[in-house]
Amino acid sequence: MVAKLQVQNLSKYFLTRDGEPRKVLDKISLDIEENEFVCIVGASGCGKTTFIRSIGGLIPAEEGDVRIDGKRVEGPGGDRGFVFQHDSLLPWRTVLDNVIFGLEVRGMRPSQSHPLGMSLLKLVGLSSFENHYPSELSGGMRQRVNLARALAIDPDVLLMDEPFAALDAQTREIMQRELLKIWAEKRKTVLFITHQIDEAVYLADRVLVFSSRPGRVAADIRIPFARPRELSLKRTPEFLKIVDDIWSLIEQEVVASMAA
Amino acid sequence: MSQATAEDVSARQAASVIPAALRDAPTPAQLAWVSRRRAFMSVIGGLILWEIVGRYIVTNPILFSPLSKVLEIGWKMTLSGELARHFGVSALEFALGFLLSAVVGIALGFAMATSRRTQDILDPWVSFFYSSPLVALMPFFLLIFGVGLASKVAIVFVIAVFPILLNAFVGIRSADPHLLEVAKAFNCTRQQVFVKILLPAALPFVIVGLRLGIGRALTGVVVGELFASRAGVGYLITAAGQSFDTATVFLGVLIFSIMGVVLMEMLKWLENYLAPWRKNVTEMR
Ligand SMILES: Nc1ncnc2c1ncn2[C@@H]1O[C@H](COP(=O)(O)OP(=O)(O)O)[C@@H](O)[C@H]1O
Ligand SMILES: [Mg+2]
Repeated sequence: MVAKLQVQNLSKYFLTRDGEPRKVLDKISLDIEENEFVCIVGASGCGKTTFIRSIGGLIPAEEGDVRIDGKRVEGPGGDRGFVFQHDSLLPWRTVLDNVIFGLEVRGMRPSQSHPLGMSLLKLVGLSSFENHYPSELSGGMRQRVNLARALAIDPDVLLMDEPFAALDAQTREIMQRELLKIWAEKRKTVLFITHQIDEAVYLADRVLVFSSRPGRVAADIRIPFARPRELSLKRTPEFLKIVDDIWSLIEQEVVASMAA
Repeated sequence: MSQATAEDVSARQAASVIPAALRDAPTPAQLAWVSRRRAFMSVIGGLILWEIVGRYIVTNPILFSPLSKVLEIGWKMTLSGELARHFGVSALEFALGFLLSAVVGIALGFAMATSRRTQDILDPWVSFFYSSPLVALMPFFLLIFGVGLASKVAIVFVIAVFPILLNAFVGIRSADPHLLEVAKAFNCTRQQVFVKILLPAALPFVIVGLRLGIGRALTGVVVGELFASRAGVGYLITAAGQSFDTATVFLGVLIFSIMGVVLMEMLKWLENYLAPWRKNVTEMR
């Protein structure tokens, strides 16, 4: 049986200002199983966003390929839903109209998409906010809408690029717990990027550590904790031990790349 | 200590007592009302000052004219139907010229912003004409289009079109690249990107362009009627000036000013209607 998401020898170059190619991702290969929750951690600038954008089909990779259910992806598609790092809601659309954006683009009529959007708003805990504009919401609420918008097209794979990075610590923890709840209900394959190691360990079945310059998978760590996971898990010694191990891994990577 | 505070808070919430400082603070609606009243008083004060200066301080009728005199002439001309005739001529010149500049300006601005080639070709011309004193073209338009409506529409058009074009262009270009990435991730077609992302992003800029365009178009009407014309509010001003009839000059200027204010208000209304999310933002502050 093939893995849900397969990445084979993916390399990505950017041109520097002098027109020289610079390798940002170096022959990355990995398999992600169906319904698996995989987190990627790594130092800032190591290519995490570039990697997830390649998988989303937003930018082409020069070498290697990405397959979903064994089928090669060429550009964006409805099998992948993107939750962006930045605040990416359309300011001129109400919350509900933001959530159904992807459905509307596909030509679904409001009579069909609105009930779907409302049920997703309920899922993310924003039931009575459908007529608000994004500017009227807090950061946490906006990222809930962002998530609902990605879920609306019912993708097989959720691609999340540091979705909680801009939130304060408490809101972030609550969002992490909510995300796990939603994931348990919707059963999606998730690729989640973060630079917060404890976030990765709390959420993931597997944590991949990226090395810097060029980006490579330096370690692939299985997280053994049973689900459902309470937030209190984060205070247990077992949890802190894993976080600590990953910390030193990243530190080694950064030091090594700086020496190089 | 901290427990007592927590109890305090819950007790207060239970009784839903609003803290005194908050209760006594003016609401946004009250503040808006205060602003409006101040603006109204300021206008009334200005009009009274105008009357006093005209009546007691600068009494020479060639140099100044009190408000009452201006209104009196306005009333007489209204009764004779003369004012309506002049106003109708100017309004038509304005409407045709401005609408033409809005349509052409927005269309070209959007075309330049979405097509590299169009931009490369048009850019030098737009920069050239934007900064040149286009009112000087009026004698030329008279030669080409004659003394009638067409030459006036032409001058209004060329004066108003460039700020509208440039703002439409900048509006499209200012669209947040993050939102364009969202459109890409959801597989939008080019047309969907334009309608769902670029157009709403450009809207506030387009409104600013239209606002500048209105001011310029009114100037265009005056300039157009300065040369070889027989009717219009601009003509009225020019003719009155030549016969030292300052009151009528003031009347003409007042009419243009009121036209400008009314058009700006209409545009504000249009913006609130087309871009309710922005109204929301300002109300939130
Ligand atoms: N469009 C681009 N053009 C050139 N270089 C880029 C581009 N996008 C990213 N990079 C470079 O690629 C590297 C990885 O960036 P990114 O994927 O954003 O890292 P991360 O998300 O891990 O912080 C950085 O050094 C960045 O400067
Ligand atoms: Mg990033």
